[in-house]
Order: sequence, then C-alpha cells, then structure tokens
Amino acid sequence: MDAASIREGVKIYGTGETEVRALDGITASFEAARFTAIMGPSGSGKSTLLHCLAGLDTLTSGQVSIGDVDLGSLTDNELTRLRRDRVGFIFQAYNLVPTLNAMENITLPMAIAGRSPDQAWLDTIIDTVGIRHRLRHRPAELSGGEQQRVAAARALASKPDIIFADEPSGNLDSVSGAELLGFLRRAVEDLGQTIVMVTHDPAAAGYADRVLFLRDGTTVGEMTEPTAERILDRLREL
Amino acid sequence: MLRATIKSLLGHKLRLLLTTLAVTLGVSFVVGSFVFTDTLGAVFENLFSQTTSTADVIVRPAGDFDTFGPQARPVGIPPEVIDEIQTVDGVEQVEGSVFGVVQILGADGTLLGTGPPIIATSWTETGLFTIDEGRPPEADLEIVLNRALVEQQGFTIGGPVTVIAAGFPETFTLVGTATLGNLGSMNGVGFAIFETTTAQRVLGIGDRFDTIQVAAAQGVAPEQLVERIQPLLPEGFEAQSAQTVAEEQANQVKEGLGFFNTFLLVFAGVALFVGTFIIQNTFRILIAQRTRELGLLRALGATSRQVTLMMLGEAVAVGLVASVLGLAGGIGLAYLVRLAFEAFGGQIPDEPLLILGRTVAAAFAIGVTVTVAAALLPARRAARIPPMAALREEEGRMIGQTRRSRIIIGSILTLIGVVALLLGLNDLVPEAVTVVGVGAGIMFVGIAALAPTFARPVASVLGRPVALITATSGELARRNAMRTPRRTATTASALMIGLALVSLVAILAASLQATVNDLIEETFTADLELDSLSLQGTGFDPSITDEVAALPVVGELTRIRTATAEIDDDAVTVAGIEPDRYASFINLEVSEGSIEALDGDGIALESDYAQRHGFSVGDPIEIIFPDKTVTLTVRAIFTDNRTGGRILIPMSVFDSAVPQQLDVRVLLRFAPDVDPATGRSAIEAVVADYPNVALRDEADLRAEATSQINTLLSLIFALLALAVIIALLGITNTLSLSVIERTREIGLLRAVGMTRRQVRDMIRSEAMIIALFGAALGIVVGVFFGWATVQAISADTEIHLAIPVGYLVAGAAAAGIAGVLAAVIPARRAGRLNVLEAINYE
Repeated sequence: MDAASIREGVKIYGTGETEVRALDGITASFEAARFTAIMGPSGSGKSTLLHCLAGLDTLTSGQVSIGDVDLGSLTDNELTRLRRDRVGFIFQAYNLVPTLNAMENITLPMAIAGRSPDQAWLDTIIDTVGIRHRLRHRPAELSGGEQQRVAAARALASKPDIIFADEPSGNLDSVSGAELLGFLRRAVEDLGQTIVMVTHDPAAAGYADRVLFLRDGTTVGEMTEPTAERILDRLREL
Repeated sequence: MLRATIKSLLGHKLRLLLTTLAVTLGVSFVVGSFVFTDTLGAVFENLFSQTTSTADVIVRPAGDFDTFGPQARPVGIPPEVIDEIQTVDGVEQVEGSVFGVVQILGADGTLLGTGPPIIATSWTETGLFTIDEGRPPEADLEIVLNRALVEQQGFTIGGPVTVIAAGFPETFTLVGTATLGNLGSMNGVGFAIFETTTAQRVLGIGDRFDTIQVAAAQGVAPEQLVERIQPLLPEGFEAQSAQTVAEEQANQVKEGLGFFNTFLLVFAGVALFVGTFIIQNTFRILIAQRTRELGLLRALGATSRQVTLMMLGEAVAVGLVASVLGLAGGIGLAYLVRLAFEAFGGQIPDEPLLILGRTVAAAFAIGVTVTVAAALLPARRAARIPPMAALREEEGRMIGQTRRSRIIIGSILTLIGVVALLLGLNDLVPEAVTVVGVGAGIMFVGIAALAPTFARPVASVLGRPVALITATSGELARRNAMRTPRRTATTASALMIGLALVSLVAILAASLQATVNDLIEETFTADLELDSLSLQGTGFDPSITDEVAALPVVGELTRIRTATAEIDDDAVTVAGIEPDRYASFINLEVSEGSIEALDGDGIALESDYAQRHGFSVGDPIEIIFPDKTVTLTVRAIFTDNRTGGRILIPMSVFDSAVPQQLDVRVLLRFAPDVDPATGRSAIEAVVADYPNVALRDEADLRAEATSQINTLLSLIFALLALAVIIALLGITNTLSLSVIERTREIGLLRAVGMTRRQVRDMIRSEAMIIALFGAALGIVVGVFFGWATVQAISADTEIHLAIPVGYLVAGAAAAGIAGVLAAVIPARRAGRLNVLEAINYE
C-alpha cells in the first residue's frame, strides 16, 4: 500500500479574476520506504501539494490519503492528531521551539501527545544525526545545520508513517546541506522511513529514489534513480 | 516624520486600542468623580438657596455646635426668647424649631432609622419643608413624612404610622407628605415632621427650641434684625442672616463632597499609576517588535532625536484618544453612579450632569501626561536602536540596563519608598498622608524595577504546579514566562499594586476584627444586653427593663442611660450608671480612684479624655444639662473607653439632671442554673412587643462588628477592583502582543501536532503564571504595608496584627483565575491561527 496518495487533487485560491489553480487535477502516490523528491518551477504547486498531503491545507476537490486514512473526512482535531502521530515535518527554517533545548524539541510531538518516547529508538536517531553532544543546547546556541538535524531527528522520533520536508537544506551551506540529505537518505535505507521532499535544488533531489516533476499544478513526468545532471536536463525541457 | 508616526499608529490599531484602554479607565474614573460631585454640589447649592428663602434671620447655637446630632448644644433656647424677639421692631413672624432623630416602624414591622437616620422636626411655616400632599401636622399624634419614605414603605395618608416616642411605640396618623426643596430624600435619610409640642415631647427636650426662624417685615434688612436680636439671646446662641446660614450649609456639604471627591480621586490615582505600567510595557514591546523598522528609519537618515520624537508623538496621540474616550466613559460612569445611588434609596433631582471646563481640562491633562510619562523610557531606548538593526535577520532584542544597575536603582528606590512610608505612617514628617502615598508609589516602582531580576526563578517555581495541570502546554507556558523576564515582571508588577492594596485592607480589617473580638471577650461579661437601636442615644422606657428584671430567669442586671451635656464648651455624651453593678459587668481598668466611690457627687473619666482636658482625681467639673447645671468631683480615671461612655456619673445625679429618663443599654446575667437558650427566649417573649429594643449576646456583638467591618471592606474592594481590572487588561495586552510575536512558533507547534485547545491552554497557563507572580509580589508587599500600618496605629490605640492567611491565599487563587480570564482573547486568537499562514508569517 502507498504511504500517501492524492487523486484528482484540485486546490483553488481566490475567486473570479484573481482565481489561482495551485493544483489542477493532480494524481500521484508515494510508496512506503522510499525517498521521493518533488520538483518544478516557481508556482508549479509543489509546496501546495506538500501542504495538502501533510494535512496542513485542504483540497478544493479530490482526495488525499495518508495510509488508509482519507484526510478529507477528518475534523481539525483529528487532522492535528494525525500530524502528531503519523506525520513528521522538516521545514526550510524555524523548525524548533526556541524555549526548548534540542532533546526537548526532538520529543515535543510525543510530549504533546502525552506519550513517553522509545528510548532505544531515540538513541539510534540521535546517533545517526550526530547531535548527542548538543542535546542540552537551546536552538539559539546551535548552527543552522545542527538545527535542521535536530528537526530531522524530531520528525523521525515518533516513528511516523511519512515525513514531509519542505526545502530542508534551502538555508544551509553546501556541506551542512549534504550532511542533512545524507542523513535523510540513510533514514530511508537503514530505518525504512518514507520521505517526501520538495526542493528546487537538483543536487538535493539527487539523493531521492524518485523525482516527481510538477508544472501548473499537475505532474508532468517522473524519474527514478535520478542524478543531478539528469534532473538538470529534464528541468531544462520543462 | 509626522506622516510616519500616523502611518505607524494606524498600522497597529488593535494594539493602540489595548494601550489606550488602560489610560481610558483611569481618566474615566477621574472624570466620573468630578462630574458626580460637581453635580451633587450644584444640587445642594440650589437646595439651600431655595429652602431658607422664607426666613430672613436664624437664631442658633454659637460655636462648634451642630443644629442637631451628637454635637448639638444640649441646652435649647428657652421659649421666652421667642416672645422677646416678637417684640423687636421690624419682625414679621417668629417660629421655633426642634430637631432630632426618631425611629418609626416600617410597614413590615421592622425598625427604621437604625441605619440612615430619620430626622424629626417641628412643622413651621418659615421652615425648610414644603407639603407635597395632604396637610401639615396640626394636632398631637399627627405626622408628616417625606415622600420617598412613604412611597418606599407603602404608607397611606390617613393611615397609621408607629413612632417610637419617648421610649415607647405610639400610633400616629399620617396626614401628609413633604419634600425638602426638590429633594425627596438623600441616601435613605428620612424626615418626620410633627406639630411643635408633639415634636418637643417625642424628642424629650421640654419646651425648648433648637433654632428660631425670624421673618423680617417689609423693608427691614436681615442684617439690621440680626443686630437687634443678638442682645436678647441667652449666652451661647447667635443670630445670623438666613443667607449666611445657607451659604455655610452649602459650604459644609461641599466640604463633605470634597472629601468624597478626594477619596474617589485616590482610587483614580491608583488606577492611573497601574495604567502607566501597562503603557510602558506595551510601548516597550511594540518598539522591540519594530526594531527593524526603526533601524531602517535610522539607516535612511532619521536622527535618534527624530525617533524619540516619533515615539512620543505616538504617545501623545494615544493619550489624546484615551482622554476623549475617558471623558465619555467618565460621564457614563457618573450616570451609573447616580443610578446606583438611587437604587440604594438616595434621590437626586433630575438635574443634568454638570461637566465643568475644569473636568475636561483635567481629562486631557491627565490622559496625555500619564501616557507620555509612561512612554518616555521606552522612547529613549528606541532612539538607541542602531541603523544596523535594520539589516539583522533576527528581530533584535532591546538592550536594557545591565542587571547590576537595575539591582542598584531598584534597591535604592525600594529603600526610599520604605523609609518614606514608615516616616509618614508614624507621623514623623509634615504632610504625612502625602508622604505615605508617594512612599508607597516609589516602593512599587522600585520593586517593579527589581522584579525582572528574579522573574525567571519565580516564574519557574510558580509554573511547576501550573505545568502539572496542563502538561506540555503548561511547561511551554512556563518557559515562555521565563523567556522574557522583563515583560513578565512588568505585567505582574501592575497586578502587584492592586493586590498589595487589597491585602493591606484585608489585613487591617482582620486586625481590627481580631482586636474587637478580643475586646468584646475581655470586657463583655454579661450574658445578654438590651440595646436601644438608636444612633443618638434615644432609649427605651425603663418600665420595659422593669418587666425584664422581674423575670425569674434574670439574675443580675444594670441599666445605662445617656444624655448630651456640655463640659468646657463641648457637647459630650454623659452616661448615667449604677456604679457597683456597672463595674461587675464591665472591666473598666480603673487606673486611679475607684468606681464605687462615684456614689453621691462623683464622676469617672476615661484617661484620654481626662488627660486632654487636664482633669485629675479630686478636681471639680461643671456639667451643664438642659435644665440643670451640676458640679461633680472626679473620683476615678479608667483606661477602657471602647465599651461604654467616656464620662460616667451616678444614676442618682443623672436622673435629677435629665428630664427624660430612658434606658439606652441594659446588661444582665441569667439567674444561676438557667440555660442560656431558655433564658434568652423568656426575655425575647417580653421584648417582642417593643421593636425599639434589641437583644444581643457576645456572638451577636461580634457578628455586628464583623458586618460593619465587612461593609467598609466591600466598598474599598469594589474601588480597588478597578486597579486590578486595569492590571488584568495589561495581561491581555502583553499576551496579545506575545501571540503576534510568536505566530511562527505557534504555527510550528500546531504543525507538529498541538491541538487548538492545547495552544489555548498554553496561553492561559502563561497568563496564570504571570498573575500568580503579580499576586505573590502584591501579597508580600501588602503584608509589609499591613504590618507597618498596624504598628503605626498601635502607637495610638493598641491593635494587634492578624494576617488573614486563608483570605490572602484565596486572593492569589482568584488572581490566577482572573489571569486566565484575561487571556481568553489572546488564547482564542492563538488557537485560531491558520497553521500554514502562521508558519509562513514574517
């Protein structure tokens, strides 16, 4: 079964003359234990797709599912709980709560749920992202790369069905960016995690198993086993 | 720069409104106080000029005596004086009036006149009253009452009214209703008007008068008459033109209103003081949020002076808006106070509210000055924002004073405040009351300056129990409260002021209560007392006491009678006692001489009174009673003055000097082996026929003292509530701004799974922590105030400190809950934030 899917998804912002069809009848699915990148020019609807898949935004029409759950049938509270228990997030910036230290940020979704984390799993993740020595530090005391790695650890900590990442390396220098992407790659390979990532950087998309190309709110092709060069070539065609 | 100022103001309408509200409430209170007291003042001025217009000259007691009441000259004007004045050339009409208080039975049988008095007087054509309906009283057993009282009680003209006359209930016939000018009644005060002889009998003053009204013949000036009448008057009385008397009365009322006004203005001052904390905090937060914007202005070439002026310009605008709103609010408040006044039985003629130019000027002066003064410090800090701030990615934190200088300044201010407070309280400086107020203010500022240095640990501790209730939301709230210690501290400090004053009042009340309770326990050794429910010492007929004394359940019993007399040109209350028995009931703590030695021609004095007038044991004292002057010798000095009178004379002397003999208080013990409940019900059965006699035991006395203290307490609490409400607005304000500031963070929390409810919990928990912090500070300061005040009072009159712990804890809990309520709006806003928009908020 797919970890997430969207069928005939339409998302319209505004009405009349100012109407924008951000998603225009898009259908796509995302396999479990795979790393999918979503690419496309500005305004192609890639961020909207991510937000709708993650339950942060709702479709005008069409259907979105996470696992076997149809998001359209959920109330706000049920959506919130779904995000908390079954979805992980990594945003481009501002991923961490400034008053909490790194460790507290990582376990935040579980604290909100009132659950205690699986300590062995936590140790695995913390060692994988390599931030054990920074756990007691506040976000303000961490570098940008460290902050994003903490965010990634948080996304993984609750063993979500799927992680959505929105330009996770967008604000990082190339070395930190590569480290983070490498870590996400390992999470898929070693830990069987499912990741969907929006990016405009072909190098970043190169870490994925599959790239989905978007334009004008719909899919215009995909590529498996991508490399940065092949992606660049394809983007030029679009 | 002006345009930038206006644009920036309009850009933050909500914040502007919230800031304005704090000043608006304070200004409203000032305006309301002025408008209400001005209106009342005008009403009285009209009243007095109208009512005395028919008399031209008034004869009345000279010196510091009132026309009636406890300070009235006890020796009335003999009736011959009227005949003599009648013969004076240029006199048209002469009438004598008597004044006093009376009790009547209400329609449901309860005694009226035990709270607000019912003033009894004689009917005169030249007097103050006009008949509204019916006719004036013409014969004995006829009565006219003021209209409001008749309406309130449902009396009918021609129907019966029971009056407690000379110690006994008597049935009168209501023949009419009257008004005083256009005034129905004032705050429940009633009027009972009798035919002159009846009034003299009811009030027990023989054939004498309290005042004489003289109408002049055509073409005779009042001043001429005054000169002709004065030589005819007995010593101690004077003639005055009616106009002078009216002016004096109006001035007295104005003085009373002035006091009332000052009283209200003190609370308005407290409210405005709290308001400055709120404004200062709001401006500081707004400036911090606009650091980049201000940095940009600086980068574009604005001087730091221009930035300061821009900030102050905003403050002036906020002050102006607040003044306009406050003016409107104050007028509304005055209207409400008037309604409330009427709801409690007062009647004010339908005159329009009086809004003087002074009131409008005060509104604007106060509104603008307070706002600008509060904005000064934040504005100066805004000027220090460097142009580089515009380029920084993060919203820059404002650089405040260093921790050290903050501690030094705060400590010095606190110390100055404490010293001023103690000096003032103990009367060691001139203008002590002002010094106390200013000292308390400085102390508050000092503590508010210190508060940020310990806000973090305190918020951490107070946050723990809160976090236990609301779990992760509470923990995040705790961190948020600790994250901006200065904001938390200033917001809490505003609440501190209200709670400190509330705690002070609660402690004073508890101390007073405890002292009174101990006193009652110590000195009240009777099983029961019979008390005439009268303010002015009108008693009940001794035959009632005789009836009670004859009951088998009654053992020992003693009577106390009181009368007004004159000693050393002062009106004093003299109590007639049965020396031996009195001493067995009340422990007088005699320091010199003995009470038993009173019999014959002795007098006992309370030590303070004796000291002030320079009397000691063995001295002769001349006491002028209305019909007789007696000379007695001081035989005892006692220290207790709180249970009985200050001047005690033997009953034999009292009875020979005072014509009307009524028992005011009777103390009794049950016969041996009588069960108190049985005894009491036997006595109740007798007293039931006399509604002017109340039965009280120790518990009743205590309950009575408690209810008196509580009445006063609730009034002060109601006024202090304003300061607390403004402080709560401060919490609303601070948290609203914090929510705006933390939009992205809230978005993130929502994205990773926090429900709307949990977000609301988080904001409400933070409000609770801030409120508890403020309450804790306030209670600590309040306890200090309470201790200092009780110490100061004890220098004069011994009272002991009692801390009402339960009450204070309940106050803190109430503050915490109120904090949660204050956070309803920001919490809702936070909960409603759209997750996506919040995440992408710049």
